[in-house]
Amino acid sequence: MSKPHAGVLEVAGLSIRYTSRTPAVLAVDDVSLTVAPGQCVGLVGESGSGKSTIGAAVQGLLTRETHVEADGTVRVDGVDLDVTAEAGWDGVRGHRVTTVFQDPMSSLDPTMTVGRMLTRVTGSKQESLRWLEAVEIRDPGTVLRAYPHQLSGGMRQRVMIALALARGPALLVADEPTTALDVSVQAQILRLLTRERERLGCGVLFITHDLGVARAMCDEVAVMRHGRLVERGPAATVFGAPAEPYTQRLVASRLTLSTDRQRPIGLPDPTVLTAMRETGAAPDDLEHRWERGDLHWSSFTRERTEVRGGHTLELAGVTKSFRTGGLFGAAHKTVLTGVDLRVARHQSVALVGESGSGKSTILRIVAGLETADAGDVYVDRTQGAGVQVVFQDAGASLTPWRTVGQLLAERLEDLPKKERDQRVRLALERVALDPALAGSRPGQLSGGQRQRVAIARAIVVPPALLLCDEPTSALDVSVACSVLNLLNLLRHELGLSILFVTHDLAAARIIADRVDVISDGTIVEQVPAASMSTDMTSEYGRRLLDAVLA
Amino acid sequence: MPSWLRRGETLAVVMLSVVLVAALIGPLLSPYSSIIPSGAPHLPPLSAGHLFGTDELGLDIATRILEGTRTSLLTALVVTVIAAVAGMLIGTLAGFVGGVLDTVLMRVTDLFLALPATIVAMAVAAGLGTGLTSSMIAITVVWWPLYARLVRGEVRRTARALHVEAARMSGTRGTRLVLRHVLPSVLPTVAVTASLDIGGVIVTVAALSFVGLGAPAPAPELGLMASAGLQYVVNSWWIPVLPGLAVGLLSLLFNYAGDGLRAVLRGKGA
Amino acid sequence: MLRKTASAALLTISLTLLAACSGGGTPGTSAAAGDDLLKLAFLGGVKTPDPDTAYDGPELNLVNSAYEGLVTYKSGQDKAELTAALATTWSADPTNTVFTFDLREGVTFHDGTPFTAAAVEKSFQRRTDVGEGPAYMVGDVKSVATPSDKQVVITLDAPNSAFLDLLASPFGPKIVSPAAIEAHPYSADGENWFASNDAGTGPYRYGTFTPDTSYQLTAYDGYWGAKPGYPTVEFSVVSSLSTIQLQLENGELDGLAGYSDSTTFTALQAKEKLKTYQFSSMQTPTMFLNPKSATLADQATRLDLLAGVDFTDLATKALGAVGKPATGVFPANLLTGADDQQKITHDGTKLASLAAGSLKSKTIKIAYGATSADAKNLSDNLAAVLNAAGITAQSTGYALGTYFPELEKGAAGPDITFFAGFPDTAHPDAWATVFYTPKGGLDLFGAEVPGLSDTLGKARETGDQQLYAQVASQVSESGWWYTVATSLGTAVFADDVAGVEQSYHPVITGVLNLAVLHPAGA
Repeated sequence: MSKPHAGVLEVAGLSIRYTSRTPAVLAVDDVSLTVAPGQCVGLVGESGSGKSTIGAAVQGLLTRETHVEADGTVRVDGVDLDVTAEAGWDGVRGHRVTTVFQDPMSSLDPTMTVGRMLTRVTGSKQESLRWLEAVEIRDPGTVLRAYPHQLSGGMRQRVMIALALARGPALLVADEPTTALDVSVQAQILRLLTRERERLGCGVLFITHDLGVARAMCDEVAVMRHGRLVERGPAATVFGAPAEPYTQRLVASRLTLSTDRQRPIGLPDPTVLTAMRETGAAPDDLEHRWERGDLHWSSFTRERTEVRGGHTLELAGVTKSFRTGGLFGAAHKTVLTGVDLRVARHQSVALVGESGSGKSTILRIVAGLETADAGDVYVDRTQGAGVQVVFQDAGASLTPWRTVGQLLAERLEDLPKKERDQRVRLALERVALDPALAGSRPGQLSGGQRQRVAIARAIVVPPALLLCDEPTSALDVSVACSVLNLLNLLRHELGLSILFVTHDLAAARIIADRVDVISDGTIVEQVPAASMSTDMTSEYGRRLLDAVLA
Repeated sequence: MPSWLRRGETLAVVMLSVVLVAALIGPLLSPYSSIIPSGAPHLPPLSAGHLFGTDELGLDIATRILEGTRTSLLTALVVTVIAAVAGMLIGTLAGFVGGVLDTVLMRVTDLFLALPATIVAMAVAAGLGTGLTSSMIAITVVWWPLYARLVRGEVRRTARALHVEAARMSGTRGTRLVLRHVLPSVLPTVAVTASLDIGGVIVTVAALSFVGLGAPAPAPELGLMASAGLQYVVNSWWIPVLPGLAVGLLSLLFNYAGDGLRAVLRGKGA
Repeated sequence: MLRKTASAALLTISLTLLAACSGGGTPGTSAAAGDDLLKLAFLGGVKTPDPDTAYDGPELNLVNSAYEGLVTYKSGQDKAELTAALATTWSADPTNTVFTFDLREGVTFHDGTPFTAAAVEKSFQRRTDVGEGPAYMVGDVKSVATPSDKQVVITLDAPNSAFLDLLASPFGPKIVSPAAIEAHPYSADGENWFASNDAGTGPYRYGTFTPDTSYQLTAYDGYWGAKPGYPTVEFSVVSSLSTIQLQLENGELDGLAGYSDSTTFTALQAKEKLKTYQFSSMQTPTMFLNPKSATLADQATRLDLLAGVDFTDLATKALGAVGKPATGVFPANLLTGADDQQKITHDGTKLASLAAGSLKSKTIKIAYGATSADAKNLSDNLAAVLNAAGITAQSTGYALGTYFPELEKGAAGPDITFFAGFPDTAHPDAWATVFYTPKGGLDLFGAEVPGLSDTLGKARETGDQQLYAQVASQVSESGWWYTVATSLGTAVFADDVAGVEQSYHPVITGVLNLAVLHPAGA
């Protein structure tokens, strides 16, 4: 807070209540913050922390909502504004404050070409072209004539940024601008935003749940939890030496390429501790050992009698293409070309690649949801009950009207009821869920709980192979951290073979023994997870490594 | 949705409840029979003892409208339920099994969809004679394909949903998969459609009996009352107009109430 | 979905309201067009006005204005009385087989051809050649001899006391210009010249015909008789009675012959500037009972039912201004000086005992042809009477195409039907043979009384009234038919139209002798 009265955004004592429910929900609780011109302030927090409500409030998006009450002051570019009243916002919203949203599709007019939208702001076609060049759009002439739906996600986000910046705002609100994008694109967009901010000198309020992004982007960081500001300060201080326990936990949950993969990650987590105790193999004094860094996954590894060796999964020369196009010009898009992939018994393999690389298709083929056009797919089912999948969107993978208990019990149809109930309880305990939740429906659970239910369903009868499709990418960092810890615990305890599909090398490294990089339907390299950052040589692999923001 | 509309729907539900109760117990309360003359013919509305007047035979119109409403409601309910159940059965089969079965069932559905209710009603009436049962059969025959199509689409959509794939991975297959993981998501849509359809069925039943394919006189049926009374419209307007208004009002109420139901189910889903 | 069904609902309402308002339009259009033009209406169109195919009713207003037969009935009186038309005198031999006619002189057809005996022969031949419904009237003709231009002698195959009445029938053979018959031969599937042109001798000739829209008659200057009262008569086709009612009330129409139902007629009676007329006719709404009916085949049940119903009350309530209760079996004014009384005596207690006895938990199905308001009203009212007495009864209307097939379904068909029929002509044979014998054509359920056909055959030869009286009592006692009422022909005219009382036909309703209508005071 170097210049307290010169900020393009000054928020003081802001509280926002949603009164549509009784009791009213206090979404923002006495928050003060300032964004100076040219400064980037990160507003960091997990979902439900109130960060997006602040973002909406300072853009004047709450003025038409009924059932909203607010206290405190908001001053944008020197203008005092009431976040719940329309007065005064006219020349501010969309002019002094502009926005880049997570999903540009919802804020771009689908009926207008990019050129029309942009020229409305810039006034001339030349100027529009210049802006498209500024946001690093190749072939801006073509894009000008395109409609939003004809563009890729990254392109749309660039257009959105051009639209937001072309108005010459004093304040840019960037609300999770890269969350929906591929990691490699994400880095480019972030670089672009930083460059343009410096060029134009506008203040940026950067809202994100991603600590890595915040650290890379922001001068100052404000950490929010339950509507309150927990900690704020220069980014280096907050991430380097967090003062508050909550911030410490958040920072500790952040994965980098140097995170220790032999031990549980993050700070001691009660859910994971509970699950560890359920194994019966836990050493005494668990929590302290974890804190001291003296808790190794190896201590949970069960003695196994059977001979090691052999493969749980073997893919040889797997090829797959999909029909695309309309009635006439039916074309085939090749997704996989000659994929060879093996997962040894008790081994964990991460398959990394960006969207469209074919990694999800491999997973679906292994799961039996698709069939390969050519090649062999072999799963050694003697090692357990077939293949089970934990999907990225756990919420969508759980039938909304079935209870947790019913969903789990479906894998146990042939057992007597009593035993079935027992197994369900056991599985829930393994993933540190209260067995009482067996009566709940997915809608009543949090995101992390749903993901754990999905894992519990997968392991209620231990499968020969567990497939994980980006199981943590939709979760808040601390929740993702527990899920990764749980998966690691189960891997060691049950000796599961795992195929883990992700685009996040840092997460891949935690779970996997080996990382396979897939690009354009072919596996381009296979490296041991432990020495990934040095051994990875493929161009695509290096790009992914760069995208993990150190 | 503006709040006044919500109020409109609430009002519709309240009025519908009143109408339902009135239709259920009303005929018991009325001092008259609906088929035996109870006064002089052509008494205008608000005559002593005859709120809606009497028709050309001296039958009490209010009593007949109450009973006609009950018949309409019952018919519409039975038709809608049978059509919905049949449509769901066929739509589910087609949507879930897919392939040749889907093609065959959907062609058959299209065939029925293309039939006009009146023609089917005539055909059924030719076979079974005119009457309420005949028109119910006829409407059901042309009504179920709508549900079959709707359900097939929903089932196909739901069958591709992640939770169904996940359930399949859990080893749940066949009927059990459909019953547990697919159909429950179709039910609300069917319920909303059905509740909106009841209004339409009421109008169709009335239309069929208007053209003489319904129950024979003196059955108190709204469409029949309107058509038989039409010749008196200039000199005794209430004889055809009041039953006609009753049909319109009923179907409007069901539409608004159905819209309300849809809003409630949507709200729940959101 | 909401919009669709809601609009369907609104449509229902608005249709009903629309029906209430339609025809109210164009106020202020000219009132009656004075003394030159008489504006009348047809309800919903008419059949082809060819003299040898016309067999419906309303189109006779056109046909009988343009054509004449040898003899006709005097209009404007209840009793059917033969009067001269193109024949001035006529006689029958004692066996009712050979008929001699002296023809009127100085008559020319509308196309200028002079009327001679040869035209009679040609016209009879055309009726046979055309072969439509009314062809039977000349079916028995063995020969038409023309001893001179002014005389014809017609010989029949067998004695027929009804022959002169058939010639006088409103549907009877008309004399058509032989030149026109030659020039425009009839073909069943080709264009019929006679549908919009005439070649008769009548007081009017066909003017501009726009089928299903309007039909015009213009006076024929060379007519042998009295000049018609109105030079031009125009019939417009109107699709609903309500519209006609409104057009009569605001003067767009000068008059209406027939069509009125009781409510409309009563409503019009109260209007100033309009005069209403009720005429006797031989149209006789009759109840037919199904001999194959599971309930009514039993004679005791059937006769009890007939005795139990108060037919006087039924006819009064159902027909109101357009009918009056019948007392006899045959149509009114048909049997003269003979006993023609119903043999069944009303006993109001019979229905209650039927309800508790043989008709307990049975359903009586009553059918009617949906085009007949009289039949519908009788059906509905009888159903109400039976329901009130505790006998379940239904009344169902059938469209023209399904009515007769429904009656032929035997035990599966209706138990009772009402039909408002009339004899083709004013002879008891034209009624009894047609309605009371299965071969007659309108014995709707095919009921049969043993020996009745033979009696009727004998009566036809001699015209013996006592034989018809015998038929009447047999029919009445059988209980298969019940003569309910006599239809009253209605007419509504503006009060500046005179001569209506002189214009009505003794046999059928809705057909007027237009030539005798004239402006009041003229």
